[in-house]
Amino acid sequence: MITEQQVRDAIAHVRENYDSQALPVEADFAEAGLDSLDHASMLLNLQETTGTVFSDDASDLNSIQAILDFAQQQTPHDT
Amino acid sequence: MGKSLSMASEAFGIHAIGSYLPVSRQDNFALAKKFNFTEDFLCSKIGVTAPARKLETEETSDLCVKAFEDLCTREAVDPADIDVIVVVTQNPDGHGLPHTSAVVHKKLGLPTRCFAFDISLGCSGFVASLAIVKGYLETTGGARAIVFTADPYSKVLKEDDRNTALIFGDGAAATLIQRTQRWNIGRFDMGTEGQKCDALSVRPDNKLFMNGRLVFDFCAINVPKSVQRTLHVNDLSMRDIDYFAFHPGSKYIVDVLAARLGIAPVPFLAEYGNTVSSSIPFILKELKPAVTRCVLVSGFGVGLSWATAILRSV
Repeated sequence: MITEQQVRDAIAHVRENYDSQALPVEADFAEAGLDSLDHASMLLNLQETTGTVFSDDASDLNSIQAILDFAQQQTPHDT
Repeated sequence: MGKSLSMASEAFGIHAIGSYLPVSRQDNFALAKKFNFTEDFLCSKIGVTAPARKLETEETSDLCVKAFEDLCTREAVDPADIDVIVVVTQNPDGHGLPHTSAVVHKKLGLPTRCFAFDISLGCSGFVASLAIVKGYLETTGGARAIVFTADPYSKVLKEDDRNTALIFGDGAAATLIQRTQRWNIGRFDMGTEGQKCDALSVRPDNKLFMNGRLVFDFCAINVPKSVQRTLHVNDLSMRDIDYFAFHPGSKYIVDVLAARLGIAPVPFLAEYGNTVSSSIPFILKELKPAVTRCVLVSGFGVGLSWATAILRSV
């Protein structure tokens, strides 16, 4: 499970002086000025802080919402 | 600086390095524009502004010969005294048979008693080859080896691939290994994560493919651990290291490694490109053993693999 705040913290961790709190959840990372290396660093940070394992091709996780949706799908549900 | 650790029993080391960078350069500012990358991204993240490109007519063995010629301007090297040569490459002459080291052997007119073999490794190849060659010399009673590194990725680069076209440069180095007081070779830490080997590979179209995120994860996670293990087996600590010679895969990965290790930023010296297994000898060539006495070298990439070691002048 990943929270929205954890994603924002991960962005702030990899990009100093970037106002991650102001980033809309649906905003495309690239359009918001986060490049592919920021993206890779952010996913690694989330992996290390939350234990979430991202798929080999995680380039489509290009917004906060996309990451939250992915993490939601990975979370085991009660039956 | 550093501990008075004796490496007298490990006296094979790097005595001299020759290199060759093709004169031709690719204009990465123009290419970055085409890819819609900003100049800031190119300079502050990629770090490669003018990767070297060999001539179409230059073969991998030709790059080796030119690096050897440069070596000979720095050190008297008698071909008759060389016991073994290796060529670290995954972009060999022709179709790879005969092995490129045999072609270099022919072009340099080396004696028949000089053995020659190729090592199929990428960016970890130079450091790994030090262990291989050192072992070869020790077990055969040899005295002198030359490690050639020449892996011209321009042979397999796709010009329109945003992930790779800006990064790699052509180049070669010729490193003379013998008993020396310059840089002795200490102990190693090496490993391979074969499950991820496809992340950096040449595909059936004979073009390079790189999953940048997987390669980045591999390096950021494994290299700092390898550094710590290497320090441990050499009975050294971080403060004993005068220079961290990380393979310059990109400026960003070098910056990330420094940050994750809690060390000062390491200068990125490869505006001419990531020359794969030649990148670390290129860095070492700029250092002075009398001043920079203890160097940690770490190469990482294709495999995915890493190789880390300590070099120490005495």
